[in-house]
Amino acid sequence: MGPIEVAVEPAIRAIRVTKTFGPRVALRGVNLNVLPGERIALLGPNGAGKTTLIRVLALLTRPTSGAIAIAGFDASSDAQEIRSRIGVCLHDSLLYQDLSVVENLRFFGRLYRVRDLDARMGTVLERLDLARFADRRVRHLSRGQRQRSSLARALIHDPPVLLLDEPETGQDQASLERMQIELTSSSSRTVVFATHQPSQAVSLATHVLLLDGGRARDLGAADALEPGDVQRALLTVSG
Amino acid sequence: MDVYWAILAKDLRTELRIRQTVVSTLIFSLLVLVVFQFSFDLRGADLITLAPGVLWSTFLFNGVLVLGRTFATEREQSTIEALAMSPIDRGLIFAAKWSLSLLLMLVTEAVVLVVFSAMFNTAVLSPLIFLDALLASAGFAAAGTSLAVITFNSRAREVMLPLLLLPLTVPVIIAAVQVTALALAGGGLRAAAPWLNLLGAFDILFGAVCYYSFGALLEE
Amino acid sequence: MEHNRISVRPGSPLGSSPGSSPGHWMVGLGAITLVLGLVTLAGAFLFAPADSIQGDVQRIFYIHVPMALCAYLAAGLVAAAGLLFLVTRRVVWDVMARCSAECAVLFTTLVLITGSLWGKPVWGTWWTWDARLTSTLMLWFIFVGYLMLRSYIGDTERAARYSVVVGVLGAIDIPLVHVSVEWWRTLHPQGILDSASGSPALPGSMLVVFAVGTLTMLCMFGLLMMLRIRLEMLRYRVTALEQETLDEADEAITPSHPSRPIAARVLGDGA
Repeated sequence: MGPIEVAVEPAIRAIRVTKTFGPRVALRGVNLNVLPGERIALLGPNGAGKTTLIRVLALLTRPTSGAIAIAGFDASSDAQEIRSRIGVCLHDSLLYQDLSVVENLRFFGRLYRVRDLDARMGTVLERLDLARFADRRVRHLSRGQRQRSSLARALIHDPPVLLLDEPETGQDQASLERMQIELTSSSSRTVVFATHQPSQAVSLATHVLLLDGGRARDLGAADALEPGDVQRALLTVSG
Repeated sequence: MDVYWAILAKDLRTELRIRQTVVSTLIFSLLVLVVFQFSFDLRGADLITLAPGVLWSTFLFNGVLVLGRTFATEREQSTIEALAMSPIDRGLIFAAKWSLSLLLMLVTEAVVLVVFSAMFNTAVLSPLIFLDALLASAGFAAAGTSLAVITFNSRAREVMLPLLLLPLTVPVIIAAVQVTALALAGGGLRAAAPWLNLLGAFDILFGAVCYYSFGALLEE
Repeated sequence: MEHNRISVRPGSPLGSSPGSSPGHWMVGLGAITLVLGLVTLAGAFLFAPADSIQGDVQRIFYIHVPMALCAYLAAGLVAAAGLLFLVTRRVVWDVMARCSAECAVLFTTLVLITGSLWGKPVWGTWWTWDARLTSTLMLWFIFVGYLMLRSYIGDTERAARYSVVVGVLGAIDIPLVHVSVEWWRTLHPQGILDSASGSPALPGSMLVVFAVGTLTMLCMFGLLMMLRIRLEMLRYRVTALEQETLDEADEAITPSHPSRPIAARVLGDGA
């Protein structure tokens, strides 16, 4: 046993998670033990398994083998408990294009049974600088506004765990900064985000994990890493 | 239950805003009526014999089109994953989509009945026929909602939906036509009762199986 | 195939070792089926008397009716095996469901063909909308659709789950189809046609041949299922072995990295 004692219930536990799609192995025996409040960057080139791992943690896909527990609940028996405690952002915005931002947030707020929904919506829109565009249809938003709206959707029920798949894609600097401020603002929220940009990984995360052909390799605490170290590590990955 | 209304309201709001399904399927149905007229020449003595079949064939075409659209938007925009990730009872998603399809089908059926009644001077606007349309469309829509999800990922999806749906809904088709024929011949509820009971049994059985199995369809 | 790696116990009826019990099981069943088949034919032509109304053409019923029985049995099995798959997620149940569907299509096709062969001399036409044949026709469509769906979606876990729903809906539909088609036919009775396809009390000798015929068909059904399931399980085993080989090759060329001590916590101890 190392110098660090685990006294707190992990926010996310994955035990030997494997996921295969026919002959292709996307995840190979991945183990995770993430404490509440940590921010884990999943780094890796395309095809390394980042998106698959996010989707498995989001309970969108069942792993081929292995176990998952989030916020203390076992995925195989208490899936609905987990779903109410996670917020997810994927490549797609997961928003209804022909409804406004507010209409989308209100809809999902009802699905997640959010209390004081109007107040909560106001807070989230304010913090992500979306108040001005709240009544615009999602179809008519810019890329950055859509990404932030997608994050708003994920945060509407104030989940203790947030899962993000390459949230920085296609965003301008200002929009990105807004998102980063929001992601790092809460010390109790656990975040797992997939990215292929080393600078993102180092600046946002508390720990960096490298995914290599479906296997996870810990690169250590983010404050001990330079983007250059991470970049070099990324280059050693096969594929 | 609030979840059910939330989903239904959201879908109705979208449909009213962009009107992608109801307008196109309605106009298509009227077109089909016209084609039937060219095919069979519905004026004249044969009208009462042919009317039930013509009406229900039109409704079936319409139903297949409506059902084909049910999940199209959700799939195209990947919002189906957002629904799958939320902590809601999957059966409620089925119930909301079923209700939506049923409503859209009934709207077109009502308009077609009015037009038919005016065009061919036949008394098709009877309560018995409305009841028939409701029960039969409900059964058709129940099976169709599940099959819409199932066939969306298959090759030739536009063909696979009716290919699977029609054999399964043969009891509905037969019953629906018979009740309409009885109504046009002046028969009442008593005469139509066995067929209506059959429709009810179908609705309950298929509704229940589809409701409880919907979760299995949404897994990845 | 997205299923979990499967293992097939050698020596089981579905096992793969040549010359072991599975081979013996099947050869045995095959022999029994053949013998029973011959007995049925003998009984049908030599032992049972000719039907008083229809004459010799009625003899086709000794295989026609058992085939129908097997078709419905197969349909029920598709639903049952499908449900078992959904609950246990074990590949073998999905394989059984698919093979049952194939048998269902086979037997319904044979029922329709033998029904038409009987119908031509009796009714004067190859097809008439007889209640039972029409119901069988709908069953044919349902299971052909089932197989087409599996073929069009591809061999995935998702296809297996979707098929369960189609199979169960098909199975619960059967009584509804029967009732609706039956009632529909009684609206347009065609006299001799309906009474001819009915089944009045049968003399003992006919019952005996029916029983043997039924037994034959059931054995044939069982044999076909065993052969198909075995073939499918072998195919999965081959794919699994291929994958293991590929994985081993992968392991050999990927250098392993030792993890740093701090990794123990974030990555878990593999506990």
